[in-house]
Amino acid sequence: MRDYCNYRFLKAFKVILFFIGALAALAAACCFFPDEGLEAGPFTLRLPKKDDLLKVATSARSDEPSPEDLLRMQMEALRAEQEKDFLDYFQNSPSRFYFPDDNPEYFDLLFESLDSASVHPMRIMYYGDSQLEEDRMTVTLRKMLQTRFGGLGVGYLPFNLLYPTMSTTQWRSYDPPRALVHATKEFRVADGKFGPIGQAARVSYPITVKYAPFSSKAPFTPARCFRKVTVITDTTAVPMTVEVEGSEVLCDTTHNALKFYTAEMPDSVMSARIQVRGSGDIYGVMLDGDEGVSVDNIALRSSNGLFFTKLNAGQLKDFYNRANVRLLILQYGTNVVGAVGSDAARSNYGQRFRDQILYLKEVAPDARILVIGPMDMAPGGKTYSYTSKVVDTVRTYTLEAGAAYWDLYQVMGGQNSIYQWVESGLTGPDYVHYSRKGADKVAELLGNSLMFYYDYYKWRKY
Amino acid sequence: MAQVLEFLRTLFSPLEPSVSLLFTQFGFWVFFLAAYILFALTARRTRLRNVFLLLVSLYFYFRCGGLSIVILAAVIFSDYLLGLCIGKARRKGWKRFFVAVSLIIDLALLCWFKYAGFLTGAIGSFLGKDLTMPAFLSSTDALVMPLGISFFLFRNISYIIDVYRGDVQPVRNILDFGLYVSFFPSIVSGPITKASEFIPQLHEPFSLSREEFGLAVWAILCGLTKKVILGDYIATNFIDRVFSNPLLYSGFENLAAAAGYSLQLYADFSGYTDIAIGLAALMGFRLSPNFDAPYKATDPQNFWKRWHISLSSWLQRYLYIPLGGNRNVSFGTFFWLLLLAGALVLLSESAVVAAAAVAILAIIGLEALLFPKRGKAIASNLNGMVTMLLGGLWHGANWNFLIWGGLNGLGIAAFKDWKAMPWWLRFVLALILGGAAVAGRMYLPSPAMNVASVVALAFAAVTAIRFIYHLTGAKKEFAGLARCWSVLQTFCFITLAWMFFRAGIGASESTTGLDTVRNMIHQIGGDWNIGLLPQVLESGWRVFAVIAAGLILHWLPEKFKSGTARCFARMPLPLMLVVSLAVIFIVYQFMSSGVQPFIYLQF
Repeated sequence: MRDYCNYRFLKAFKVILFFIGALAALAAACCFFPDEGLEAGPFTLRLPKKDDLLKVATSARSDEPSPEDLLRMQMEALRAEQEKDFLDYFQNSPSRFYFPDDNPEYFDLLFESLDSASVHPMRIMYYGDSQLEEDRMTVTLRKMLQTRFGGLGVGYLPFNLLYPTMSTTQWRSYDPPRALVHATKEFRVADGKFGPIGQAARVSYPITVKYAPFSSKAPFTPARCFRKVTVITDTTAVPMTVEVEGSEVLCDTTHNALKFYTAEMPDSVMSARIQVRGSGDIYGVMLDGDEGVSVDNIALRSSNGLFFTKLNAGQLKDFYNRANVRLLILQYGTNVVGAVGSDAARSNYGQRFRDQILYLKEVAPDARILVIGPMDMAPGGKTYSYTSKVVDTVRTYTLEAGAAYWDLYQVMGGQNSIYQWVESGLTGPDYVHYSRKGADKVAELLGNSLMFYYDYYKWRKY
Repeated sequence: MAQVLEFLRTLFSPLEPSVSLLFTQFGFWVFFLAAYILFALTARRTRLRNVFLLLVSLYFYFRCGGLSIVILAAVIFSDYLLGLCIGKARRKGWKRFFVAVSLIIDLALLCWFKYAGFLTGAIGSFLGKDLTMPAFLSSTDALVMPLGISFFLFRNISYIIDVYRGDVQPVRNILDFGLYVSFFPSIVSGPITKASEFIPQLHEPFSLSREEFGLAVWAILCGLTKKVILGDYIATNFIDRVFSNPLLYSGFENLAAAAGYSLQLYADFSGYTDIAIGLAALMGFRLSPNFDAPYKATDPQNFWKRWHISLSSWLQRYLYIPLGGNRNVSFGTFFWLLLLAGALVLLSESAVVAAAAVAILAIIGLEALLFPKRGKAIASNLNGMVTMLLGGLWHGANWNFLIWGGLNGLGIAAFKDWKAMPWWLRFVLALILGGAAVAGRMYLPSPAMNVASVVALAFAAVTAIRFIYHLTGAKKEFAGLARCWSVLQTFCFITLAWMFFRAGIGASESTTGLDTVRNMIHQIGGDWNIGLLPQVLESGWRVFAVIAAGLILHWLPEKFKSGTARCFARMPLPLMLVVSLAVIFIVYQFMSSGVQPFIYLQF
């Protein structure tokens, strides 16, 4: 710095005057600047308020519990309630379920299936939006249920697994065109035949895909291996040949809505190579055990949950029945809250969402339906002031349609809780999507709550 | 008024909990102004000024780091005494003994706070027990790393070794030594000043020319602008979001986030250094610059001469050269290579990684045996690799940091070898690389292979053009074009390495950090959804514009930058004040609501 300085020296008090001048000018500007800022074209000019200026970040612990503490406290409360009084929990806990007609026995059919899952394998299908991507939420719930009730495998996977999940990765010899019920359609699909998860891949020449665990270093869970590989296709397809690990698999032709090509592996395996020859629409692949529970992750990015009625009823009925689907979980809200600012828009969404539930009840009469409502979020840094109204609307229409409801908004801590969740690393810096840690916590709470009702069921039964 | 008093009490009272005094916070500037007023009273008397600055520095550290000051005071005391002992000892054996004692104390402290958690976890996992660390000197239940521990320990180590080598005389006065170690503008994140540069300044009377004052204010304003606009703004509004969930963003956004992170890290770190240099200059102390437009580097080796210069030269002086430098390999080279290979195996828990580590070492050994003329080049590459790997490990015991260090080591070695090759060999190698990429793309299609093939083909094409031009014997060098290509190539390589670095920061498990990089490459090499590009640009144009402007500013000629600084420094004081206020006003418009600490505070 010295090399090009002239040496007219400055006294230290002038430096002090300069700094005092700068700080005083800034302090004065802060006092007189309008609180709401000044509009200048596309920008809003602002200056800190006096309170912000005089705030010093200290390392002292806040008296308010962190979201993690809050969740832990809820877990502890849950355990304590278990010992004391189930009904008290059903009425007061933020992680309780809301049931149609306040009936806490709503899930009994599901629990009966769980009890007999070792003989009659069953599945839970967890539909959602981008919050579920990478197998978030389901990875924890699946581990919890498979550890308790048995079962192997990650469940239903798209034939084009475009994004690796934290459980599974896929290699494929080429990318067949795909059609999503709610988004991109690279080919035309007649009669809503998108398959059970709303996405189809069209193959026209031989293709090989291989599914394997995402990381060979991840700790062992039952989901890492499987004993059954099922390829699901359209029935109108030109006769296909499906080979799993080099052995041809025969098709179950007793039904006319979907074709199931099921390969029973001689032992539990961690990866499978599937080769398909012929042409037609493939709806996905299931990697399951031969007993217990399967939990499917069906993450449809940017979806608002209003697509079920566009899916072919015959295909859905056939699948839900043959796969013994006993619980459908629907988690939407990320792409909903921002679009329903007015009462009319909320009511319209609620009614359309109710229609989806009624449709699902019709095509899956043996399944229970659980809706997980919107969370608190702040895209762009600001929370929506009306999120609680959206939550109320979705809950009201869900219960009216005869499905159960889990209030994620309350579980998080209500209005503005998202800021604490972001600070604690439970939600990403976009103030919308859960981090893996956050998704694990929420899924753990959901699973524990479900098991609490299961214990209540057992307690009533015995 | 009560609010102001409460603010001052929180800021200054030793009974209050520790505070965060970041350069970007109003509280720091009030603290600095108060310190400067008292400094002005003592400035004429050198001894009194030094004592005052030592007290302010220790108090600053105490207010920010709490009880960690015990560690700072302990190492000041121990290294001061050991420095004296080294100076007084007549026999080399005793000198070596005192150096060893000092290194053991300093490195043990560093390892304890940086790696104890990792090692406890590894040992606990091996024994099948849940081991926990004692959390002494911490207000929480967890072991908290003392603020700036790496920086003040590195400063101490450099002092001790320089005294041993006879490059500096031992400091006689503990107060001078204490101020050298704890000087508050640079204690938290450097630069790592050498004793030979700083100590002599303690005996000079305070002087500040009019232009030096202007340049100091300019440095502070530049630092604030870099940190808030080029660092925090693009991080909170874009980069953090993409790195936390790459699969939610398109290939273009992932690529922009990777490039943006290169800018963010530079702006954040060099912003801190600029402010530290400016503050020190206001008190009459000159700290060496820590950055020299690093993304103008034409190769990885050149990059490390421009990036974090004080750490790079520290590593070169106290690690690379003692290992043998570019002369030969030493026992130390093999010791560290084996230790690092062990760390790799421990982190990966994989026999394949162990076998690969052994195979690589065997290949290098074989090369040295078969081509004895290449002995020096191999030694230089090995020592460079060890230095970069240890530099990576210094950032944290994490896969990502090791890969980051390894990539840099590899880049430097590959560049040196490449430069030494004849043109025809470069051409053949580039063709092989391009061919392999095309074959890989055809037979092993994957997003990572797409990225690799694009890079390899571009590299092969440019090498082929240069080779053909070379064959024609034409004289015109197109130096500007060649330099642009080298800068672009280096920037891409460094950006790739930074992706591992960024993903490693805050990763709870090392695998999560690797997943982030894997997912980003998956997106960059996957479908870009070009149709969505207008929408992406429309929603994020502010951030993209800031990234582009930041890179353009960075690549402006140095002459232009220093000319602007001089122009500012020569302004009349009232005009300078108005310009400064205008800059602060603009900077504030980009400020995010939360406190954004400097990235290097955690190291």
